[in-house]
Amino acid sequence: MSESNKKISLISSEGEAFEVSEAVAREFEIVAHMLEDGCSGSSIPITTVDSNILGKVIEYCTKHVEVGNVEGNSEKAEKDLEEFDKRFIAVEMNTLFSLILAANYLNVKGLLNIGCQKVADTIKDMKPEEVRSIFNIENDYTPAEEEVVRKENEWAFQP
Amino acid sequence: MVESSSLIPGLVDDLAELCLSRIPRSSFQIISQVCWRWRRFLRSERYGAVRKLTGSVEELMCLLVYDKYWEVFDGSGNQLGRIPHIPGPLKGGFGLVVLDGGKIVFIGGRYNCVASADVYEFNPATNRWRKLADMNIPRHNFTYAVVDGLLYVIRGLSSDNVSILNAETNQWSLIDCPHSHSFSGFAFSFNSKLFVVGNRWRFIDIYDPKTETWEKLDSGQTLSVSSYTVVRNKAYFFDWFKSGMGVFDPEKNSWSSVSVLPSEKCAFKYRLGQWNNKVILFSRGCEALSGDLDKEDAAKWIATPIKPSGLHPTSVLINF
Repeated sequence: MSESNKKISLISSEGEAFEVSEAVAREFEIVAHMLEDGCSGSSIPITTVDSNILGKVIEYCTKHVEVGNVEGNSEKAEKDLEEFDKRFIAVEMNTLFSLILAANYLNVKGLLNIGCQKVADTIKDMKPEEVRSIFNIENDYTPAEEEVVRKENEWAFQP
Repeated sequence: MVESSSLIPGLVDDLAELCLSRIPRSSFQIISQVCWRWRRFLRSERYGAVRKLTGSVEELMCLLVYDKYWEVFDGSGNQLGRIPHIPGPLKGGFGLVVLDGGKIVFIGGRYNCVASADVYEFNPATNRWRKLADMNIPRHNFTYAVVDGLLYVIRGLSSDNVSILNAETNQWSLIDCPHSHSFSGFAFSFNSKLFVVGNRWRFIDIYDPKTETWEKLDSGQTLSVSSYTVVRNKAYFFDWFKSGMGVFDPEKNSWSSVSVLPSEKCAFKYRLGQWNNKVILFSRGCEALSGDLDKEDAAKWIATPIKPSGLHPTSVLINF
């Protein structure tokens, strides 16, 4: 396909241009829609995402497009991709939040999923105090309420 | 204090909800201690909806212990908590089945030597039992199975026909079935047909809902089933009078037997169920064992982390 050679520039909030193949740009669902709607200009502004994060999202999409194009040996490729995702998402919390927000805005489903999963995995083995301090969440329980909630163990499902 | 109104400062609530919905249920008690906002969200209907959306629904094993109280385990064997008591008096000879993938239905039973027509449904989303329409005939010690979404309650000690529940309309209907000297035994669904295996009876009655006809299959043996389960289209059961575990494959119409480790014991010591697509064996006074019996020759029993607090639990699996 000749289309796959076409290049598109994605412009970050700072005005920096990232040149990517159309296949990679289409991984951004929001860009894919623009292209389908005939906004076929070769540069597309992504005004809410900064260069650092846009670069990362492009890295993620490029890898996934590459692996998606390789035929055969799919099991190894899938494992590779899993490893890549794991490394890719092992970032500090601020960056993780920015990636989630960007993935949501650009509609990159795979990235949104692994981002949210990473937050969930971080929380699931922590103590309540740790969760509060890492995520900057205010404890709005009174000490008495906290005691009641701590003792609550009878419910399997929410009422 | 502006930030304190959001679930996770720095994320819009829609996205924070996506994150929280992916936390396994075993961590709930801990994370509901974080703050009121989290606790409220975890207990809201919205939470259930988001969980479905993100495909974070878990398969949970619900055990009814001593026919009396419930224990719930997740796929890793973590004990999550309890389900409220089933309404009404304690009964024996009841049926327990899952409808719609996630609702537990408690059927009939016997109380003070009287058969009951009561049917209750537990919905994990509301954490409540509600009463469904009464069975058109009170029954106890019956067999039952779900075929294509319809619940069939078959025979029983007090009657010799079949009640069918359409849970969507909450209405019961009645069909006749071939006369049999047997009650109890077990039933299951295979290829959209109802298979009824009677105790002390060598024939299997097969009902085809499409043609509304029954046919008979000679099993070549008389059974006395004490416990059974159906995993991946094969029925596994214990017989009061036989050692080992029986296996019936309806596709090949074949009967075989699997040995039970650590030693061949009497059937009454075991209860069967299914877990992670494998047969699970609850035995007296120890953790449940699980076996991948698809390759029958290689049947191996492995200890599971599920430790029910009492003997002879009845198990059902729900997705929630």
